[in-house]
Amino acid sequence: MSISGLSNIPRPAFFYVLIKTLVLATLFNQNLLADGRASAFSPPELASSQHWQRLLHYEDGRSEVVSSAFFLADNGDTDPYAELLATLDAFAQPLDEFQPDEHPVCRFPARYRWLQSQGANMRSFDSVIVGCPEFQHWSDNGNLNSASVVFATGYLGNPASYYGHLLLKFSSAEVSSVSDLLATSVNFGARIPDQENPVTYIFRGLFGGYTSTFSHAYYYENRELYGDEQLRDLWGYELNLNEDEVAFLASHVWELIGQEFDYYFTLENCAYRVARILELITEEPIINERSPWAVPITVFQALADQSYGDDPLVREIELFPSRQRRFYEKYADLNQSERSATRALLDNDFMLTDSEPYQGLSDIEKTRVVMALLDYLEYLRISEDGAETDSAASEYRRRLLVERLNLGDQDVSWSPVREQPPHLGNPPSILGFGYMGTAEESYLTLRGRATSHDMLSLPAGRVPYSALTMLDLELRFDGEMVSLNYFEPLRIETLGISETGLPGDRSHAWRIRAVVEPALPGCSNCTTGKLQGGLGRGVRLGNLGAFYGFSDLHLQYPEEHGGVIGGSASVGFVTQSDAFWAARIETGGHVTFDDIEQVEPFIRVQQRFGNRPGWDIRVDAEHRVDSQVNVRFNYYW
Amino acid sequence: MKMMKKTGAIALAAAIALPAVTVSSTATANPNPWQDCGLGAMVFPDNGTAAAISNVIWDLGTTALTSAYSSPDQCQGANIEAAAFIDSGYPHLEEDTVAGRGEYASALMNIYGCDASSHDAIMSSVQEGFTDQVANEQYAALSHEEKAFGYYEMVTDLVGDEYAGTCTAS
Repeated sequence: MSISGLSNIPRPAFFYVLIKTLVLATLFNQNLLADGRASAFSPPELASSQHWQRLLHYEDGRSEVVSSAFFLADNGDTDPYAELLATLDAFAQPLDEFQPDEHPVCRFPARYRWLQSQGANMRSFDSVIVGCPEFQHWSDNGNLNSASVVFATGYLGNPASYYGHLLLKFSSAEVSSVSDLLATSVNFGARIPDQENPVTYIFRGLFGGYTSTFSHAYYYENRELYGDEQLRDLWGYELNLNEDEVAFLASHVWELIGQEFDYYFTLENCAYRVARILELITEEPIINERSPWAVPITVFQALADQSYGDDPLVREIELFPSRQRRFYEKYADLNQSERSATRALLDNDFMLTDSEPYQGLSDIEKTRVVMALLDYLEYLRISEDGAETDSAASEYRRRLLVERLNLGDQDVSWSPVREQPPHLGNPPSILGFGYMGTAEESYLTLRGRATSHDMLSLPAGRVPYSALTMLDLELRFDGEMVSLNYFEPLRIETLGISETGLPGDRSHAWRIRAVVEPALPGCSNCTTGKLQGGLGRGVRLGNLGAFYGFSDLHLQYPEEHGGVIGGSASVGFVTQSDAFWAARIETGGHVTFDDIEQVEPFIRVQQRFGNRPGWDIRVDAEHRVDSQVNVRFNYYW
Repeated sequence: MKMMKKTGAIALAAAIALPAVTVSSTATANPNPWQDCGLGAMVFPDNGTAAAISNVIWDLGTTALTSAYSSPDQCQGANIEAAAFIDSGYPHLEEDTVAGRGEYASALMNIYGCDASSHDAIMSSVQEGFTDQVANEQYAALSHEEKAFGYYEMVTDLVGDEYAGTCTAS
């Protein structure tokens, strides 16, 4: 096995390195394995090993860590053997020559653990780590026994958060016995300067220019940030690891805290970095190395699919619902009397003693109403940009707190209807083929979509009644020629559905779309570029689906079939379920501002058949002046 | 300016028996983590420390917090970890306190190093103290910082006096 870089060293230095290798190999050579057999400790072999290079985050011959503090050798970022020798050299230094937390083992505990496991003749980890009180405190004095990967669901309030986010969480038995609030959590993100303008933010986020790093905090900080301030659900996927494996993983995460990486939104993001850490212990890759992008949900789909030995890699999946979801779940669980009392209190400014519907409830029912309303008021405060808003709302909350005290100890239980975990949704990318028929032509079609989900995708793990797709391209073949059917770089749509209908629990439906497509369905030579934006309203119809209405403005160029500026008004209905069949129908009228009296009616029907995450069949029909039918088989990956 | 408004509100509150809610402190009184140890700088960007907050939110770990925000002279005796927890999760603590139990209440007891066997009794005492606070109509007018400090001071005094034998970090 070749030794990287050795042949390029000048002759005097070559002998120095050779002698050093022999000395260190002798010093660290552990000749006895646990079963008494002899084993040679071979730094050159270890330096070339996949595991050592993963510890150094090497990719294509170079470490992806860009901060020099991560390396003990001057060329440690390009020479894994030099870094290995420097690490062994550093670990050989006596502990008593260093102040607490200063010995290299305190910075690189995972390297120490690993080298020792590979046969290095070093003192036990437990005996040296006593000189690292800061690491010991962070790692709960070696008591960490649980490692989880946490998915914060997508957040349409910030484009950088559309696809969700990843965190790591480590916990001990003592902490878990109470709650995970005091668990150790590790976050990853780009270092964005204050007051960064949006154009620079987008450009540097996509094409590079930011560094990124891992940081740590008590888990409650992240539960507040994501679950409360951003109203995002947190799904914890606990890994099926033993204590030693958890300790090793946590040790390596410690090594990375504060170290810097280059940041690219589409690939070298939180999903990529966390996957690279987890691949230290998983048997298979988590992120497809050939994929041009890394999407957080794919990490969880890979984790849920993988085994660890004879067991699933994921031991347990736990939901910490956002403040919004907790309110929705409570409200959905209220009985009819409780809901009537809830609405009555909203109507009479929370004058609890004056409310007949409320006073007619039992103490347990009153407690349930009070708890639901406490969540409601907090949800409103947060969704209205978190301001300590009006004094009236503060007083309402005070009255509810007093009432809850007066109700005393009540044995309240809830029966929430829980969503499916997010890994059960469709993977984000599509490869599809199908058939397209118009009045004049028939085509075969080939489609690819980068990310993420449309209105008929499986609902697990996504914002209900929403669509977010990027880079959706379809080609068509008429038997002689391949041409573009459409290219849609971006589509975002949300119906702003209120789960409760209560005041403040409502937002506008909105959508934006950029696309290059035929100006009319069934048109073979009228391709145009369009920008479309719309506002509207959506109303839920129980568990069946949602009605909605939109007013849209269209810009198109070149002018194909009508002018540059047009508009439309439409109404529609969409089902939302993981049933075998789902559908969406939308109908309305389209006008161009050049000829505003000429209204062209249109209708679109979209259907999904199949409810497996990996595939489905779509049957779409559309009519506006001309008609078009599409049948597609979609493979999700 | 904000401090002057708060002081007025607190004076009113104090006049109607809300003794736990004060914002002034001296080196010899219980330190106020929000004022004396920089906790307020983290969560009130309008006082000129917005530039630090983004990093603070990232790095709000145990060592990062205590090393960045402890001031030896002014913060002696302050339980920064408890104050940060109370500040961060105050609405949850309100809800747990009025119910007499809950995840946030239990975690706070752990931060104070209280024996699990004493949690129920301590929470009962905390609930009594909080009842006095929230029963006062002026409670709704207090700022987040004032409510959080009032709660912190009440709990810290309880675990330091009545429950000193069962809690280690008062």
